[in-house]
Amino acid sequence: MSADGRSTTSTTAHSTIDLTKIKPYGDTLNDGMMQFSFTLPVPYSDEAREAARLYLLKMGVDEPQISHYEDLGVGYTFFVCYGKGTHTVDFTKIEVPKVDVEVMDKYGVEDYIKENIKRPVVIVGACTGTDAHTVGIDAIMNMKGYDGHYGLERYEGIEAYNLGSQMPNEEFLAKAIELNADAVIVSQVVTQKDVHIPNLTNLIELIEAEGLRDKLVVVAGGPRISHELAKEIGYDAGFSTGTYAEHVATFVVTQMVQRGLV
Amino acid sequence: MSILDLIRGNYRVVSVVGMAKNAGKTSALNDILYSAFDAGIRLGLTSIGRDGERVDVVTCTEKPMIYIERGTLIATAESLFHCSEAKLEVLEMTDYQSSLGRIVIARAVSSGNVEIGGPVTNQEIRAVSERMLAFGAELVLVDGALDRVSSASPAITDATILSTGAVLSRDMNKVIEQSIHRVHLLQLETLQDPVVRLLAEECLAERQIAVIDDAFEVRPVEAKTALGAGIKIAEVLDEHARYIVLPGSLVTKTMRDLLAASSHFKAVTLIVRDATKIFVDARDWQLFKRAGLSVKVLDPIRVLAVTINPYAPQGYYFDPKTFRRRMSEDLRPIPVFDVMEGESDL
Repeated sequence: MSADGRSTTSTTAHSTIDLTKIKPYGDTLNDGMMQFSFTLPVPYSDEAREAARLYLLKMGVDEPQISHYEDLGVGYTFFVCYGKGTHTVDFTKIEVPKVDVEVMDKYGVEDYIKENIKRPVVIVGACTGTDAHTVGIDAIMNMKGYDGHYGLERYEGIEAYNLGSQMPNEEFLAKAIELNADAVIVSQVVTQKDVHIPNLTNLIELIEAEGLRDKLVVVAGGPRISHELAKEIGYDAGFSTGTYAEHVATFVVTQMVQRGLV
Repeated sequence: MSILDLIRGNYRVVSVVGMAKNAGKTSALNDILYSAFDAGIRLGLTSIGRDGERVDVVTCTEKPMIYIERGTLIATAESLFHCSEAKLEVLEMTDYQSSLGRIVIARAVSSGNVEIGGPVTNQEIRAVSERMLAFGAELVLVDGALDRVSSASPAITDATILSTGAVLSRDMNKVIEQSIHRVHLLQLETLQDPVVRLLAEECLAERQIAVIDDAFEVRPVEAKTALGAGIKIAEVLDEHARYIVLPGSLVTKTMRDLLAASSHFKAVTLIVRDATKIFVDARDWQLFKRAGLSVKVLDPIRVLAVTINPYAPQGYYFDPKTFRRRMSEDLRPIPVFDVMEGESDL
């Protein structure tokens, strides 16, 4: 393998994987082949095509090829391109902080509530701020759930309230207080220009100001939410893609017991 | 003069809060850290967010590292231990949970870079700060996160440093307006009348929203929270009403509803615990002020200094001298430090 990874020949494939220098796999190991799709704000033309090629070169992509491009009709052009990545990543040096919680299934959660909490658990959820995409919160909360995993509404011992979308933080919290919520779950799907961040911090600051932070389990969810982000924004947990109702339920009920909120 | 000179000997737990992400909180913190190491002060360090990671989880921009000297105490999440270069000795495993694991109080047995992610709630921040003081820290620094300022509450930290910067807006005037508004809010006038203070404290202890009239009569308002209850509160107001006590937050909508639903608000002063309970932006605040609404706090916040960062990660920057001069003029007597230059205006 070429040490600097900048070889332009297609014979750099290697039969063994060096985890200290990983790069994308296309047809053969370590060929670095990647697919790109993007739009440039210039009219469909040979010049546009060249601009896309130059852009990839500037990104450090070797042998950029424009395999498809089309007119978007408003003076913009869309491209699909291929090229070879020249960088490598040391996979052995990566440490991502994780928290392992053993996930209980629906019945496990229900039994846990009966045994340890002995009263209904109130969970209030919504898509807050300007976000109108309820797909996430619905998958977690609604009766039918998602992908064969029932939602929180179907759990015995959980009173789930799905307040829907575009819920202002103040109204959301007022409702949670009125319902004596044990946990609030917030879904954020739209993350353009990081709008979800100030919206999420605004809610947590309101909860602190209302003097409720120690009494509430606060959970965020969405494609760009993680446990690391949750720490930064002051939430107890952050769930991403691949989360089902039982993950959220397990977390909420175990937190309640750990923090003595029963 | 350094920021440390303003803190040393006067305050035990100090927070650094920011107007936004990338406003220069960590640079401000590092400035204090370095002067404290030079002066041989034993520090305690924690964060309501996460600090010391090389690349920011929100903006993917590079962040300053956190370097600590031997003997420094930290309160950080279990899973961040692996990411630390400094050798750490565990002093206490607390019961406080975070999304990155349990919070651990540790002492550095060697100098090096660390990652800090402390407790999630402000009450727990206060508790671990007390623990670090008990373990021998002379001064505890609490770093903020993003635009969160609740850790500046006097119930949590004794004094605060506010970081602001060009990241807020491309327009320097807007950055200045928003920053000055935040400082003015943080330094809102304290309620002096001892009788009203006593009555207000009682309401707050019971989490009771109430109206106090000119005969010091307390009229409770039946609502669990003032959020969305502005009109309900307005109904209790009459010509004798003098104060409205809010145990929780004060938001724009509450003030707007009061204004719309009652003509008696001009004689009335709103009382909140401290300025971190107020969620009203600069424009609305001016509007309400002109309309005659007044707000006072029970506990004042000590803003020791304001730090500015003239550079924005979006790629633009302000003239550092002009930016600092204008901020200093408007904020006098609060000193303004440019974290990128590291020199004071005094």
